[in-house]
Amino acid sequence: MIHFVFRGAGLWLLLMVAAIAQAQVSDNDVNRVAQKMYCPVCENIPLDECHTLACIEWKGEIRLQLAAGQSEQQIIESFVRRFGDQVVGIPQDPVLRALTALVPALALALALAVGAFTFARFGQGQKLAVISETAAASDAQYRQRLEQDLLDKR
Amino acid sequence: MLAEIGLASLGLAFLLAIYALMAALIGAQRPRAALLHSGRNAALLTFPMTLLALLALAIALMTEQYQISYVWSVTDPQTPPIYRFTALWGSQRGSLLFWSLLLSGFIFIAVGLNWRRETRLMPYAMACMMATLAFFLGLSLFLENPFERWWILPDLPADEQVIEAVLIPPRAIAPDPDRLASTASGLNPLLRHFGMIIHPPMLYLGFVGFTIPFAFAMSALASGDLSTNWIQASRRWSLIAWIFLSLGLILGGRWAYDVLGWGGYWGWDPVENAAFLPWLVGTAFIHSVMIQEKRGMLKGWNMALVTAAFSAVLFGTFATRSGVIESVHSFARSEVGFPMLAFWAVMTGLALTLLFWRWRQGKLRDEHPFVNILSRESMFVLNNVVFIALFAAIFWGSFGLPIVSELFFGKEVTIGAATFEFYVVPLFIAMYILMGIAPLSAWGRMSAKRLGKAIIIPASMTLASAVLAIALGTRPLVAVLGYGAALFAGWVALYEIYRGTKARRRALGENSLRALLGLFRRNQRRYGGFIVHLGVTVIGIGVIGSTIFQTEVQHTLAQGGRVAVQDYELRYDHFTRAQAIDGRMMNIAAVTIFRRGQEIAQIRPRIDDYPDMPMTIAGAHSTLENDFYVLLIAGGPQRATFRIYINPLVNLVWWGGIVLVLGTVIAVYPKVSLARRKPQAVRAA
Repeated sequence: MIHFVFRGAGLWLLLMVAAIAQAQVSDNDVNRVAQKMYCPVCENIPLDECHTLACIEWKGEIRLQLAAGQSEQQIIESFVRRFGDQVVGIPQDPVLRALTALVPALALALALAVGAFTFARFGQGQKLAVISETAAASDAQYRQRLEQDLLDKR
Repeated sequence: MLAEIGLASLGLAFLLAIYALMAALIGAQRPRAALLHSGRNAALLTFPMTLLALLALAIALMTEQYQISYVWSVTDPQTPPIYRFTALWGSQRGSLLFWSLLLSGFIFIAVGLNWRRETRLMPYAMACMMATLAFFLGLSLFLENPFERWWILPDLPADEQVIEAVLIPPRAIAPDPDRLASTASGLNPLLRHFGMIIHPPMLYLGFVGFTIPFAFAMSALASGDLSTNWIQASRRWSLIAWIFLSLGLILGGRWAYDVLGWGGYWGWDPVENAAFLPWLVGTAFIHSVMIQEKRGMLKGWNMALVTAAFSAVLFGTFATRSGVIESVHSFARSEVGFPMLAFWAVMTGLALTLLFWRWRQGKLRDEHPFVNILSRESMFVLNNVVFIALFAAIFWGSFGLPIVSELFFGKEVTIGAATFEFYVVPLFIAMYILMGIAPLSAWGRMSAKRLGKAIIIPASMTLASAVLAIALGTRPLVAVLGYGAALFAGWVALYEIYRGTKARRRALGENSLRALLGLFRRNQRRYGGFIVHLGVTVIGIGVIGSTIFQTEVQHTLAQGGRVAVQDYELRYDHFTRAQAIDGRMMNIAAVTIFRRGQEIAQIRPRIDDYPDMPMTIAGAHSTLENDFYVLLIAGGPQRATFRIYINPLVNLVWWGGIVLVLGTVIAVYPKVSLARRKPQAVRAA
């Protein structure tokens, strides 16, 4: 009987500690994790901004995990393990993660290469160009350029 | 009767478009004036026919003809008249017809204005426009017909008796109108907002607008008239499409800010990105095309850009309407996906084939070589590099990676805002810097010394602004860099306007205001462009402020309770539950906002209960400095949970949008007024 009372008291103490810990987890703490995750029902809606029942339950689960002392990364990983990569905004698979960064970088390199190809024709162009370094960028020169623009427009 | 009128008009418009397409193609191959004229008349007639079809649908919506299943699915007896009208584009079928109407309207004006002036280009241009119109009318007619009606077939088993059909099936009877009215679905709650009256039409006008420059470009390639004629015929159309697309994007952001209840306006959602992609390529095109006009260069590149803009419009439409991606904006899954994908592939493939053919013939060679890396054309090429890189990065994140991941890795992925921001922030900083340098450079040749002298004053102003920002406590570095880049573009625009005005004052002895007005009148395109740059600068400052410095907190308060956020304080006053005229229940929290102890506003954030979804409508106190933006997350008379945002400078995003539109209107507006004023201007000079 005493054993049973002790076990009951222990369980009650444990529940109290969990409840206090949970109460200490603020909405802001939950949202800080939730804003890095995405709604399981409405694709592309961040979890902290979604008001569906599923999202409310997930936020409750995040609160419990925070109360249990888990870190933000551990919580996110646990959701990814159970629900897949779509719950976070960056793929967790290393190949996909590499592709996420690499392809835009390659696109930029390609765009720069096209620009460089265009500029490569400078060699020929430079010979034709006569650049007057002596002309000062004075108001008078600007007026001339401006009026030329205006004449072209006519 | 309305359904029959609508259906007949739609069918006739489709047949006219097919006839005009055939007549234009045959007439272009074997010049026959009568056939071409007949084709032109058919093309012009598509507009009144499509308009008649849309009017039939609009009247059906306004007069509650619930037997038409589209009317039944987007309205109900409680829907207010304004939303009955906006329900025209509230779902797939109506919006496709609306799309066709806008396209036929654009074609009507383009064909009417250019027929005599561009005789060589018009037949192929008309063929391209008609092919596009016939495709969209065909979708409305055969796959997503807005005039389908509910019928009851009493001979069939009870669970199969109710069907949707365009034509009256044998032995069918019409359902009871009262029963239809009582079961009508009503408009999607997300679309019951003032922004929805104007946002979709603007976006559609932007989308369909790119059909016209694309058609002229294709006509130039097909006919071999590769002079600047196609650019002159389509330049204004490109700007008109661009301005509508810009307006559509800005209004869409405002709608999201007001209705979606998340404190922001741009979530890098795939459908938002689908509308942003043509804008990026379109912006590259309207800059790049100036090089061809002024210097006869980048002919092939401009063709590629206008093709990319049109292709991005078609792809975005496919992505939004096929159900291939999920979003708060996208239409439900439908049968139009495969035809749209096929049409996109055919049009893009055809355009690239024509482009390659002319390229191989050497007909797209530059008329002048690039002479200097600091010239304005070089800056525009670099600007194009930035826009194309932005396009590629956003396309990859929105569509490429999710599709590759699902096809080859069997995984569904979500690409979030943080990932997009990682790509686009440095590219946007580069874009703003180029926006500043390019206008200071000259066409053809530019020495480093001259460019350096031109840059020194705006660069000094930028540096001073950045130092001031740091002194006022602006951190982190990326914010200072972002503000610096955006301000540099703005200072250059202001400085160039100032220099132009000063030059006119000295040369012509005008007073400042007259000199300023004269400057804009004499070169609307250049100075209108500077106003656009100023608008983009203001938007950039708003985006940086509201993104990097946003504050977000959530608190639960008892009635009368207070919470402090920065130098603001919010007090929860009371809770009300009320019913709106359209039947929805509203849970309204009244709150008072204080700043430094002084009461500054009372706002009423609320949750609207619709049958399928709750909607969180923010309450906000707006100033140019920031928005104090409050969402009611959950609540009752005793306690309520609020999420509070302070969004610094967010209103600059909307004001910048207005400046941008004003600048584009100045740039596009009219040679007519210029021509009228010319004799006076000449006399004055």
